[in-house]
Amino acid sequence: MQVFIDLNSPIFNDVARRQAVSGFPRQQSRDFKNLTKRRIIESRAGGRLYKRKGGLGFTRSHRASASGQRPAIDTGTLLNAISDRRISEMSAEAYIAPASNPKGGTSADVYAGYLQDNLDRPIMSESDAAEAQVKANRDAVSLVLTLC
Amino acid sequence: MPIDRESELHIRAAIAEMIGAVPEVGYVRPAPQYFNTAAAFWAAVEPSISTQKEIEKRPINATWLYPISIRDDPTSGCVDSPLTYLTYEIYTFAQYGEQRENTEDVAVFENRVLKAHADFVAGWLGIKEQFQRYANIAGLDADFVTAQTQPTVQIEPTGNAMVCEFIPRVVGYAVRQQETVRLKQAG
Repeated sequence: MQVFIDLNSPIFNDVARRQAVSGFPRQQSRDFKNLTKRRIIESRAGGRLYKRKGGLGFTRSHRASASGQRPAIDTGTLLNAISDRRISEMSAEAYIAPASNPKGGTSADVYAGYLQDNLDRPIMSESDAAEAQVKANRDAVSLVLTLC
Repeated sequence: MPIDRESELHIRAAIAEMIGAVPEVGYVRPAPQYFNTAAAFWAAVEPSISTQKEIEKRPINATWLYPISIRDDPTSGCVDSPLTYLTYEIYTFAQYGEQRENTEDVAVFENRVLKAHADFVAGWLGIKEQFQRYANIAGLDADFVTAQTQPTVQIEPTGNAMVCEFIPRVVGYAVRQQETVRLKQAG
């Protein structure tokens, strides 16, 4: 006698499984992008005070970040350039889009690299990445459970 | 030198300099300068912000400074050389983002909104802190024996959902503070 068990859970369905899993990396990269943005918005700059001149006699000052701190928001160009994208079916990334930087004409991604590598102003930090890793592992377990 | 246009402008520039040391107050303009639209404001102040999207993404954060009253103190000095109080209004405005873009995360948007208010409060308190002492205004020694700032006075509470006094249809937080300078002419 033969007994057949029908494994009809979506996890054994190639199409359903791939559909569910393929959106996962993009969602994680989006969450990491949002976490990075929130941390930059919440950070308080403790560096030097710079004076800036606008047109028509308007002036303003900008408090820069200190070494080791996240970059302080000035024009918001860098913050707005933090993006995410899908690279392949199973990979995605958060990155700095090469938007133009009105301050010096430098592209935001080049400027971000300079800030992070030369000036020690971490935009995407290791601690955030570790936090995102823990969350991703937790979300992965939830994803598998929803498929079962 | 009497209290004339030059000395008044000198005093105003000195006060603007003190306000300008507070980054959260945004752009500082020592004049009651009006703009028809937010786009006109940015075209004048930061011409690099020119597209509709850039204008929407960059809330206006600015402070205007202008003289509003002058009075003599009859109990100090004489009619020819009284102690004079010259009062300025400091109008601080911070626009807030009214609409979230579809592509922006809700939590990030809420953080932006909260930060806008936190910065407005920091700017308001920062101005108060800047004037929390009697400070002599440099460069007037030859003409005034006294040229001194005083602590600011707030004449009405901070306002939410306020239309900017200098840019119509732009809504945000606003507060008015007054700074009175004590002046006594030399001689």
